[in-house]
Amino acid sequence: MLIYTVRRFVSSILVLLVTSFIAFMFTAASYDPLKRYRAQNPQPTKAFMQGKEHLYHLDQGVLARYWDWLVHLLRFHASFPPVSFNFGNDVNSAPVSSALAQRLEITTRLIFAAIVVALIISIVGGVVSGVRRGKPIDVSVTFLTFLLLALPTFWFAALLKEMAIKSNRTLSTHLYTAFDETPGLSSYGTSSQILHDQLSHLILPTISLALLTAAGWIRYQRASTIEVLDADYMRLARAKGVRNRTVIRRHGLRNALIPLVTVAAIDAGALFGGAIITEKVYVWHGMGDYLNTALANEDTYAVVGWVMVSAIFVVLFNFLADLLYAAIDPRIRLA
Amino acid sequence: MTMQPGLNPQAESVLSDPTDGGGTDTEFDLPSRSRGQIARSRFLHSWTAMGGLIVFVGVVGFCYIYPHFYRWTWSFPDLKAPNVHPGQKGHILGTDATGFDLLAQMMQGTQRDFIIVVVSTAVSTFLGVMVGALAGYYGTFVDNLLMRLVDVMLAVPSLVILIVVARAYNLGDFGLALLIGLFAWMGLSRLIRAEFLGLREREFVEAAHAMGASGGRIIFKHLLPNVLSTILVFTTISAATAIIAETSLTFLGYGIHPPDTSLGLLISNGVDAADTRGWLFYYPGILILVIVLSVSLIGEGVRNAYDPRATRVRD
Amino acid sequence: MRVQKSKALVAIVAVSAIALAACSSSGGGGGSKSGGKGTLTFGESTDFPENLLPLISAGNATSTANLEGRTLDGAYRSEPDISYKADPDQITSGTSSLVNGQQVVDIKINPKAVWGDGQPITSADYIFTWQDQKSNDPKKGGCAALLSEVGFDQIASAKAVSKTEVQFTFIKGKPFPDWEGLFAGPSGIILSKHIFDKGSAKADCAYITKGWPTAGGIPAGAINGPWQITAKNVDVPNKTITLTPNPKYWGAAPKLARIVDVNIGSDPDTNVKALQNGEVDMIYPQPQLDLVSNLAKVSNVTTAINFGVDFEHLDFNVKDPLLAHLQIRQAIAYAIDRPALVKTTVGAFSSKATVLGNRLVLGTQAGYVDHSGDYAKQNVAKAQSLLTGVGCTKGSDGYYSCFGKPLAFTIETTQGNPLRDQTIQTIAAQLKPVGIKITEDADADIFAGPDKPHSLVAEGFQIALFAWVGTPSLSSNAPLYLSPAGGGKGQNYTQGGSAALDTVLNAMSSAPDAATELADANKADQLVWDGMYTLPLYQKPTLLSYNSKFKGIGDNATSAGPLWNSDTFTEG
Repeated sequence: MLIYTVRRFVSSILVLLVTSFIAFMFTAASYDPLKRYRAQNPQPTKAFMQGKEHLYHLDQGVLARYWDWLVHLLRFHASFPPVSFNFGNDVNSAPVSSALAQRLEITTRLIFAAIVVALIISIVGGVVSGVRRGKPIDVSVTFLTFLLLALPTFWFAALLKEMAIKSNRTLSTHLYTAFDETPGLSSYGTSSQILHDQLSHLILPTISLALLTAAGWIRYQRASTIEVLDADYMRLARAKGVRNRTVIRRHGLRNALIPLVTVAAIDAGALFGGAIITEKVYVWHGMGDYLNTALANEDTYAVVGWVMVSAIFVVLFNFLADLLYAAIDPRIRLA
Repeated sequence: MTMQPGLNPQAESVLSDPTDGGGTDTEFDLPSRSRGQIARSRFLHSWTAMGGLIVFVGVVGFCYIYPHFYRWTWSFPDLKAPNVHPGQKGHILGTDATGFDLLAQMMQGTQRDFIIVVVSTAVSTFLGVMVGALAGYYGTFVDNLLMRLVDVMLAVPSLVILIVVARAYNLGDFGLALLIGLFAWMGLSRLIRAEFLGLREREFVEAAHAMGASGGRIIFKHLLPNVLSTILVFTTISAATAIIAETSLTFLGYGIHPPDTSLGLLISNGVDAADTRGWLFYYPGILILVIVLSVSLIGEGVRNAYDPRATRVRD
Repeated sequence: MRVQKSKALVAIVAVSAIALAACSSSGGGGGSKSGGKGTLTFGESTDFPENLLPLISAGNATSTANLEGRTLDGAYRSEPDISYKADPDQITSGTSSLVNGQQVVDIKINPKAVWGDGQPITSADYIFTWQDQKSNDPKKGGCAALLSEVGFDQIASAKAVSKTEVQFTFIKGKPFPDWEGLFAGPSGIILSKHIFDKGSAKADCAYITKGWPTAGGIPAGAINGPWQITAKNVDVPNKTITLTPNPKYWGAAPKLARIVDVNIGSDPDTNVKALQNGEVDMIYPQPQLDLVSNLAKVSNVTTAINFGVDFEHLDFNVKDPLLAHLQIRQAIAYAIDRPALVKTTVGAFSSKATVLGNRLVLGTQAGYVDHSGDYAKQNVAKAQSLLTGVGCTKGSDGYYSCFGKPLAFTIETTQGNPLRDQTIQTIAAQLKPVGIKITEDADADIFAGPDKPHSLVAEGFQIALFAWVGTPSLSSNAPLYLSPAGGGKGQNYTQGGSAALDTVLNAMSSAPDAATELADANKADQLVWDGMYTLPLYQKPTLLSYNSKFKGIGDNATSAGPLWNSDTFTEG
């Protein structure tokens, strides 16, 4: 187990290194962060542009810039935490890592809520659908999942938004809200107000993201439920005269959850990069929005910083998925 | 082949490639059917799968044929009829603000997306099969190297690389399709590798080895036919994914740009018009829904055809 | 055993996720200074400001200008009719006169005026404002970060008559007709000497170059408007900035308790829904057909569409082998049906939309003269006879070809701007029957550097569609039309121009008074029409929409932005 972890750690570092190299090369080679200054009237002076070129390291070669970035990537401190990331400065000379940390907080709210809801939906939907295979309930759940999988995210989100606004107007609910919190409230609201406000802003984006995520997971849950139901030990339990519901609850469910847990862990890791489209539709200023801004500014360091953070989460959660898998299923030995 | 003592027909059939079957006759005079034949017949008898196939072929065929007979072209607007409701002034599905005929644009958009789907699926299937097959068949060093490559590709958020490249190099539909394909093969390669790892230990592979078949021949002639179902299922999933990827990229502003058009561009533009010029929002959206749904049903049909357990009703 | 292990792992995952989520609920309370009552939330649709100092490129953004309309005040204000007006809170009088051929500007400062930290605003601050900005050429000791030195470089000397009166004398023979613009918000702010003066020109420049990164707010000592932006009220991750009343402001205090400026992006749908839903109280997005009709359906919302200072135009690259011929440029101009174009584009959501016939003086500006003449109407016959005149022949495909080349052009434009896409596609459809082929190239690199072949700077385009921003300061248009030989600073992308045009433009920049300047501007525009280097299309509309419970809101289509009079907004 320990050896496995160490080996896995080393290969993860290598994967991250290569990832950073690819991302850096793609962005640095093609990006021109000075574009926006050229569009201005009056045009900035030559000296100003040269100053900016120097500031953005555009006067160095791409490889030199990458090396420079790499050797400054980790910062060691005497205090806690001992290591921190330094992704360089964005085009506004603000450190990328602290901006990403702030964005990560916002995105985490959405992801955490959406994953919890999606897990509940997919477990209930998948198990019911699997147990009642071929029955009307299975057909309708299956049809719904296919429908959800076929919908472009933003089209679905726009539909949801339409409906929520109609409901806001006619039933005076407060379903649809833009943003992750009421703008400016953090500067004058009390902390309980802020908490309540943040929770109420979660509703619609959570529903939207959770449904689309769950659509894929329900298929997994249904498949594994069917597989488990056909397993010999289930037949045996039923043959012994145990009630069908008890069999499913006591023996079936736990085993049927294994694949879902690992898939969910892997998907969750990928979501930390931000649900880019969901964030855009509901005007959340999370990781996805950070990426959008960084791309629009042609901001190499911000984009690469973003890529690194999301890659770290992907790698981490993949590792976690393997550990979970081994922990739940004793037949798996990690070595 | 001369009969050898002690080698009964059953043992022979173990040695033969399971998918090569179909020709050998047994003591019963029934025509034996290969796995592929069984799957084909199952597919043909599933009304959802066939329904999906008919709708898909129908829609795509219509979008390729009807433009030749339609009075409006997608590339030039009818300046006299901007924002026309469906059915007015000869525009069956209405027009947009410039006067472009929506039906003509939807047909062109479907053609665009069809090309994107074909190219990207071809690229991703080819890469996925090659990487998975090489890693699974040769194992050890090759396997390690290729699987680390897969890890890297999975760790790099593919949407971002797509965006970065699409933005930097101003790709057309073909380039976009190539890119989508380049970042969509990893799942397939893992599946193929896993299956190959199991298959290469089987007797028919050992036999082929013993008979001096080359690695390439074993991979293509003996192993690949056995993972055909995996490949087929993946192909349909990746086709659906490619359409969604195109719409997402275009929505974010990094995909297809005017003057070209695509389904993604049409629904991205239509989002704002949901309340006011609903036809621009709903018709293209429904078209995408129908196309992706039919592709998914085809995929599900293929999966079920090869894996009867998934549909078997509990007896 | 197995169960416990799995449970423990699940618990770890859950706990760490909750811990991460919990970090988010930071941020504290803290009330605001008593001003008025009520909160107005303004949904900013451009970008989030990166720097709050408007003198430098990083702060030269619409979002910054909107925010600072009444935070950093100038002595003059940009009025909705695109003119300057003295702000009585800042100055009691401002005059310009010619003394021995030299322009002398005399400004009397309001004695009650103080900076946000209580220090009085004096003539020393005004003199410092000039000294710090008189050059952006490092070779002459200037500061390269400064956006512009134009105007300040024409001041020869400054004299503090008293603590509240200052006199600027311009260089002989180089009067500056737009002198009011030097001290007019949002870009012509007064620099607070005790904040900006760092002891040496070099240190001053370093301070300016760094500017005020948004997260830090604006130092109190630099604020002279009714609102202030403190670091505490800037929430960078949420892209929100809260304006609170400046406690030291001597004039009338704002009637609202606070204004919240939040970035909501340019998506029309988001803008409407945020307003409809009460998430924001005021929006100022780019108008778009569905946006306008959706807003009309929302109750309790007031919407005003005006025509702003941005105008769309075509740039013809005269170095292109075909476009080098005046007749071909003219033929294109005759072939485009501009009235119909305006009607289907901006005319679709405002009946007030008109064709623009002048590049230097806009339709909403005093002194506007339409110079389009013959070009006011589409004239296909004239266009075709011009083409045949140069030796073009119509082929069997219906398109002309000239000198062995097909008469086909690519119009470059920016990406993701539906109005521009629509404009080019309409032009293409109009020009097809005439016999000219047009294709669109939506290019993300249009404003990129010379290494990108199709960028404007690289001169690799044929025709380009983009916008210029008009200002009350007519002289600032000069660099856009000066010929490359005559000192065009690289923004005359057409590379066209003539000696006669240069002479008029230079005269405009140093006209002794506003009337002469206006006459010169109109003369210059006529010359540009004659040379057909650019073709103006229409002024871009602005859209201001707000919750009707707020009173006192009115659009200011200049770069002063919608919050230009935000101190007088009331809720009720």
